[in-house]
Amino acid sequence: MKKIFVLLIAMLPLFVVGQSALESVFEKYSGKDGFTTVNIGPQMFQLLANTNIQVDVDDQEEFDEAMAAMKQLTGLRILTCENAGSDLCLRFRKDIAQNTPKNYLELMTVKDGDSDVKFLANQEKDGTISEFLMLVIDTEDVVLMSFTGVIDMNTISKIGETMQIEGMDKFEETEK
Amino acid sequence: MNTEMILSLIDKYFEGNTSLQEENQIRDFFLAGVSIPEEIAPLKEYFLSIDKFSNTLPSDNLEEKILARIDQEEKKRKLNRSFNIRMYITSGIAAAFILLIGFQQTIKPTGMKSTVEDPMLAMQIVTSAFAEVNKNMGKGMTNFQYLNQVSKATEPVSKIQMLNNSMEKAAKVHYFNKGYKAFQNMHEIPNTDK
Repeated sequence: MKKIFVLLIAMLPLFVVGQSALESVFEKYSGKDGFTTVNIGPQMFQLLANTNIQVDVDDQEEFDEAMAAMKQLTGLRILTCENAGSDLCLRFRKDIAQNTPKNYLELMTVKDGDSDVKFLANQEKDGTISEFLMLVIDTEDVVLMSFTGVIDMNTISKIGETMQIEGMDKFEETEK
Repeated sequence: MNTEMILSLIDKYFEGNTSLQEENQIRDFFLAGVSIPEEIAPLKEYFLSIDKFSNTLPSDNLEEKILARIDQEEKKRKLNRSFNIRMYITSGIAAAFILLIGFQQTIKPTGMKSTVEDPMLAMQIVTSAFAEVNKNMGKGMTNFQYLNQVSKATEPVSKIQMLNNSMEKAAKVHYFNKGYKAFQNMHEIPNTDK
């Protein structure tokens, strides 16, 4: 019986695979007044990655790489607190700070004028990143963004560049 | 009883062919303990212990004890069987549980539900999110570019520094020449320059 309990306890992490370490923060503030929530689940990522999008031959290779990277994502969560100076946003910031695991690597902090941007990542033992967090605090709002899955920083930039410039218009065309 | 006879009786005993009377003869021989041959001396204790046990009478409740023991063994076996059954059931449940979780993970790897159902909008959001990450990371990375620019800007300064160093060395040569000339005048060394 003991063995079964041990097995069940060992299996507990299975429940939280693909979930953000800040799950409690997302749960607490999602749907509340003053907050905007956007969640993209794994099914949507699979759908997007499997969508047949026609791109120029020259861009095909980069585009395919970006799509392969997208296939490995399991979630995107964006939680925006409007009115950065409000008590609610301050509490939100405090909750983020308190709930961010200590083992998360602080990749970069960018202070640009009134905005502070912090990048955090959870690096697994094999070197892959399982969660990437971006926290933006400026005079207007506080934005918490979480990517979960198998994340490669090089491909993140590729997705940003390739899709933004080349992909979107083509995607819209295929949808019509 | 001579030695040969007792040896043949003992052989017969271990072959299982002795009568009760012959076994008693062997016992009596060891009990007497007279001129026991060396090769059968270790058997003395064995045959005397048989004699001791054969004289012990079974207790009155031996049958009850045997039955109780059988009951006990039976209970233990039943307990083991029920434990095994329980183990099979719990293992089965655990296996089903694992399969269920695996199935759940395949269909729904996270508990997260998409708030966006339109793929086009989702694509726009994902792309914008990545672009936002890129933009902000880019801001941070430009500082490294500034550092690069600073090092480029300081390049001429370092060249001037090198020039200064060369000039300094040249000046030292100049002083050395001056000193050498003074030394020549003092000691009237003929000028080798000629």
